[in-house]
Amino acid sequence: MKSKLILYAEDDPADAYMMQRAFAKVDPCARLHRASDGEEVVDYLEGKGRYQDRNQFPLPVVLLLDIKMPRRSGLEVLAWLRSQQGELCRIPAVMFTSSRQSQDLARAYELGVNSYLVKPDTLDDLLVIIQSFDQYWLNLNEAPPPQ
Amino acid sequence: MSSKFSGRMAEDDALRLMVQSVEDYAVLLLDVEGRVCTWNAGAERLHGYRADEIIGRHFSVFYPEPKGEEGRAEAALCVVAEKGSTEEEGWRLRKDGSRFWANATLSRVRDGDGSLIAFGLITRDITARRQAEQRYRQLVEGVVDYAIYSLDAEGNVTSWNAGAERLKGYTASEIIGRHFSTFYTAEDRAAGLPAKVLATARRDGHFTGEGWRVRKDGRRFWSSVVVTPLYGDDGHLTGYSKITRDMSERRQAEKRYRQLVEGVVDYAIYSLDVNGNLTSWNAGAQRLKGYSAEEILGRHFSMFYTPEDRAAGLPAQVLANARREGHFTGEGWRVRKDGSRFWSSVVVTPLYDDDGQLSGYSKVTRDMTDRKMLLDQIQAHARELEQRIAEREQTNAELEAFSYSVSHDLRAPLRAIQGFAQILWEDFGEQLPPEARQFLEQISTSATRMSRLVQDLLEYSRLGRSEMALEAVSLLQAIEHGLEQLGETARAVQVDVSPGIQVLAHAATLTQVFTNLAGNAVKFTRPGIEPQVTISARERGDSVVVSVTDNGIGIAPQHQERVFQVFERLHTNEQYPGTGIGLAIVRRAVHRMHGSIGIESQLNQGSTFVLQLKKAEVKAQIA
Repeated sequence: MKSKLILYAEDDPADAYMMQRAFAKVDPCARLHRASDGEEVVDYLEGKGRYQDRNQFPLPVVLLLDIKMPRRSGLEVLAWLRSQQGELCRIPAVMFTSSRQSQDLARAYELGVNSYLVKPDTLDDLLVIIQSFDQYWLNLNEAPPPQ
Repeated sequence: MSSKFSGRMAEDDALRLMVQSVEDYAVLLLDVEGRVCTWNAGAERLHGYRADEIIGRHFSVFYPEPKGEEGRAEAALCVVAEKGSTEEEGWRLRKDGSRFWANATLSRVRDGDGSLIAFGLITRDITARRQAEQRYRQLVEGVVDYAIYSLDAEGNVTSWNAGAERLKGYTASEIIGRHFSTFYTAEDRAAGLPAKVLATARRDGHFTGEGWRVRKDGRRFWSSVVVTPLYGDDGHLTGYSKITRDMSERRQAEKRYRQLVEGVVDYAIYSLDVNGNLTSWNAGAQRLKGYSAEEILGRHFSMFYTPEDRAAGLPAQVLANARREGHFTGEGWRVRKDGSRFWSSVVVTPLYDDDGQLSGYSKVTRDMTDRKMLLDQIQAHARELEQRIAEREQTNAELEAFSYSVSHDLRAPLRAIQGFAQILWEDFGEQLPPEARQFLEQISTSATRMSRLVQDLLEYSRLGRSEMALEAVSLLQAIEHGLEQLGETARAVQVDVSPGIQVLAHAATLTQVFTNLAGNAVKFTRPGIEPQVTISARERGDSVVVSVTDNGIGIAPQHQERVFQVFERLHTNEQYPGTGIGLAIVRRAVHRMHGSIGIESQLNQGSTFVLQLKKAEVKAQIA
C-alpha cells in the first residue's frame, strides 16, 4: 500500500485547520503532516530529533509549502531541498501561499518548484483547489522511483 | 741678414699666392700705361679671361665705352697718378660682352723714391647689391600711405617719395632743396620745434612724435612722425630720414571711440597701467563702483576686490592670467565705494604698444548681481526640488511597501474569519437560534466585503509598484475580456469598437480598466431605468479615444475629481456597494499606460468616461 503522506508547512494554525478540514472532506485516505515552520520541515526530511523513525514519519509524496514562515521561509526550504542528494531532492514541492508577488513566483520556479498555488479567500474555493490538488498529485502524478 | 732676406722672400711669395687665389675680388697690377701685368683667380671669374689671354692688354677693355664716352680708363689713370686712388661704381665688361655692376678701386704704386711704377686695380661685382638698392628705392618711392623723404644735415629735403607728394601736396621738384620746417605750423616754427626735432633725433638715435603739419594748400593734418639721423661711414652726420603718416582719421576715430566709451553707463570700462594703477575711468565705472574719475585715477585696481580676494592675491593673478592667455574673463564679488558688494562679470585685456611692450590693461566690468541672485535662487530651488523628489520617491516606495504588506497580512485573519464563520455555520448551524445565524451571516458578509477591499487595495498598490511592459493590445479584445469578468450584468453593455484598433497597453491591466468602468456603468443606475452602456472608440492623431457612456445617475461637476481618489465614495454601501478604489485603480492604470482619463457628466443625466490611450505602432502590411 502506497503511503500518501503530504508534508504541509504552515505557520498559521487557522489556515492549517482549514486545510486539514478540506483534506478530510476531499480524501480521507490522505495523511497530512503539518510542520509549523521551515526548520521543522528540514528536521522531518533529514530524520532528525523526533523524526528519526522513518516508519512512523515516512518521506512525503509531495511537499506543500507556505512561503512566509518564521525561521526558514518556504523558499529557503525549497533551496535546501533541491541542493540535497538522492531521494530528497526529487520530492515534488508545491507552493501554497498568499503571495502573488512576481519576485516570489520567479524565485520559486528558479529553485525548481513543481507547482505554485495561491491561497483562496473562501472555504469553498479552498475545497475546489484541494480536490484538484489531491486528484493530481496523489492520484494522477507518477512519483519519482524509490532508490 | 740672409735669414731676414729669405724671410722677406717667403712673405712676398705667400702674398702673391694669396692674391692669386682670391676669387671674390679681381686683384691685378697694371703697368704705368695701363696694361695688365698680373691676373688672379677672382679676375678670371669676374671678367672671363684666362691670364694668357689678357696679360699685356690695356685695361680699357673692361670698360663699356658708348660713343662720346671713350677714354674713361685713361682718364682714371691720370686722376689716380695725381691723387693716389679713386673708387667708383659702374658697368664693366666681361670677355663675352656681358656687363656687371662693379665697385672698382684704382690706386697708384710708387717705389721708394716716389716714382710711379704701377697701378693696382681691385674690382668687385656688386650687381646683386645694386639691384637690391634699386628695388628698395622703388619700394620707398612707390609707397603712397607714408611720406618717406630724406633731409641733409641742415634739414633741407634731398629725396621725396610718392607718399610724401600725396600727403603734403608738393612735387619732388618743388620741394627738394627746401627746408623741412616748411611743413610745420607757424607757431611750431616760432617755437623752434623743427630744430628741436632734429636735435632729439641726434641725441636719442631717433625721434617719434605726433603733431599738426601743414599741406602745400595750407590745410592742416595730424601726423605721426619718425625721424632717424643718418651717418656716413666715417661717423659724420649726413642727414635724416623722415617718415610721416597722416593720423587724422585715426585721431578722429579715437576721439569718437573715447566719447563712446566715456558715455557707456551700463559697463564700467577703464584702463590700467602696467602696474595695475587706473589710467582712465568712464561714466559706467563711476555709476557701478561709485568713485569719480578724480578720486580713483592713479589708484590701484585691487581696491575693487574684497579683502579676502586681495589677501589671496587675486588681483595679481588676474593680470598674470590676462598676460598669459591674451585676456581674462571671470565673475566674482567686487566692492563699491560705499562698501556694498556686487557680483561682477569682468574681461581684462592686456594692451601692447607697437614694439610689443606691455603698456597696460583694459578692464570691462558689468554688474551681474541680479543675474547671480536669480541663478542662485534657481539653483536653490532645483536643489530643494531634487531633495523633495528624492524624499517623495522614498515616501512613495515606503508607502507602497506598507500598503502591500498590510493588504497581505490583512488577508490571513480575514480568511480565518470567513473560514470559521462558515465552519460554524456548517457544523453547528442547526443548533443556533435564528438570531445567532443572522449574526453569523453578518460576520460573513462583512468579511467578504473587507476581503474585496483588501484585494482592490492590493491591486491599486501593485499598479503603482510593478514594472509594466507595454505592447500592442487589441482594444476590442481587452474590452471583451473585461466584460467577461462582469458576468450577466455585462449584457447591458453595447460595444462599438473596430476590431482593428491597437493600443499601447498592458493587456491584463487594460482588461481590469474596462471591468471596473463597465462595472460602475451598470451599477450606478437610476431606480426604474434599465441600464444602457455604450463603449465606443475613435482614433485621433496618435491617440485612441475610448468613451464609456451610461444612462445612470451621473456625477455632479464638483465631485468629478473626487471619484478618482482612493476610498472616495459618493454613496453609502447600502445604496451602491463598492470599495471606493475601482476608479482610482482605473486612473492609475491608465496613467501607467501613458494615457489619461476624464469625465463628462451631469447629475441624473448619465456619465461618459473618456479614456485617451496611445495608439500602438502597427507595422504596415504590404499587400
